[in-house]
Amino acid sequence: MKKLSAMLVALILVAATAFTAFAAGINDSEQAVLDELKTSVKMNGSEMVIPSEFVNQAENYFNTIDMTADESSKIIAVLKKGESFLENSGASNIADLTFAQKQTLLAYGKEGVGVLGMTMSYDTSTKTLTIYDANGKVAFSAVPTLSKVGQVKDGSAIKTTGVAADFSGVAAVSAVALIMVAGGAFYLVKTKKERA
Amino acid sequence: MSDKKVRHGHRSKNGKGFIILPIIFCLVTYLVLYLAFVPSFSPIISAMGMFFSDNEKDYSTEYDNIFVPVSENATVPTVTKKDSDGKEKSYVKKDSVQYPGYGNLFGELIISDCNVDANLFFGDGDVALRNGVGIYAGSFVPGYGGTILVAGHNNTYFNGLKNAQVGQRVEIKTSYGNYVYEITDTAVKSANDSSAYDLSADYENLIMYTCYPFDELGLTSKRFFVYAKLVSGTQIDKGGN
Repeated sequence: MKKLSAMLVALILVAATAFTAFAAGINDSEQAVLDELKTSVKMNGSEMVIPSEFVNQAENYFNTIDMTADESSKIIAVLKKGESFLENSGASNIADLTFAQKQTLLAYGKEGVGVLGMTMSYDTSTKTLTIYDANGKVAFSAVPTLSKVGQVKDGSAIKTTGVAADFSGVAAVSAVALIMVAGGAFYLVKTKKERA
Repeated sequence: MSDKKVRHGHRSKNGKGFIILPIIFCLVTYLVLYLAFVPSFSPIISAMGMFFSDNEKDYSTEYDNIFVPVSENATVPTVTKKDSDGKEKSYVKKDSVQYPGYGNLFGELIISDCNVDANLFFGDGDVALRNGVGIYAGSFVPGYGGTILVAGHNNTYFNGLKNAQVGQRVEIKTSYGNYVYEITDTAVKSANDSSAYDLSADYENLIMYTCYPFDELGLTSKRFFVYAKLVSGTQIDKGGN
């Protein structure tokens, strides 16, 4: 009887652990952060918000994790600091911030994502902000901006789907390289002919 | 003796000038042309690989594949909840949904009438569009109840969109369920026209787009949009009551 009970318990345990559970869904802690991200800030008299496409990216990421209440409150505290900083910055949008102000805002961002073990980097050449998860994978990538409440942000969501986006740049570099090689070859041949 | 040396040296200089330099020039030209055109050819080459390869290609180094198709008769775990109208409705249990991360292959998009059958990725980066079609990470996955904005190259996976017509069906298969949409409209709009989509919509709608005109080489400023509404498919339980 004991053996039978033990086998039954073992079978139940195996069945219970065999079911794979995922972190999909938005819990209360994650919803609180999303609500804070949707909060508007007053910059130079205009109510500004984070574009919905960026909030959606956060929501999508939160669907892959389980945020705790402690993490949520820490992130919200950082977000509030950032909101206050933006309201007192004197700028109309993120692009108008001075270099020092952008660095401060980036520091807030790093502190916020750091709560979830994430890292953040800013590429000054492309003006793109990228957030990496704890495994080093991209979780968010976009040019940071704010939009006026009720206004739709310009279409950065639409990609180049004909040829690769860097095609024209590569073609220009290629043309210059071709001219340089041709010029160099011509010069060498001419010099050698003259020497001969 | 010295005369011979001079003549030999002269011949060697001619050899360099008329044989070695043109060869180098030719090789450099091919290299430059390859670098210039590889972005255009790579999607075509990867698509051709699907038809001519005997072995199943291992993409594991490029992206994570979490797509496990749900067969027609299989049941997905659901939970019953009351919707905003107070009616009881079934939702896909949130614990059973493996929500895709950026760059994950998590489904398949099929439009039989347009000969479109492509891997569906979450995220519309280069790797995704080289190997299929991709959902913009600022929109949502099928079954989430929001806008699904899908991009694809006009010379490969979304070339068939040129045959899209109102009333045609779009199937999206995922690991947590299968979804059917019906095309409601098509339109050519500017790539910068943000009125072409609404990412804050609170109802499920599918928008697919590709560069326009079709089959044109070079960058285009226009996009061909295909709009579709949800016909069938169980929504994902997002949490809450």
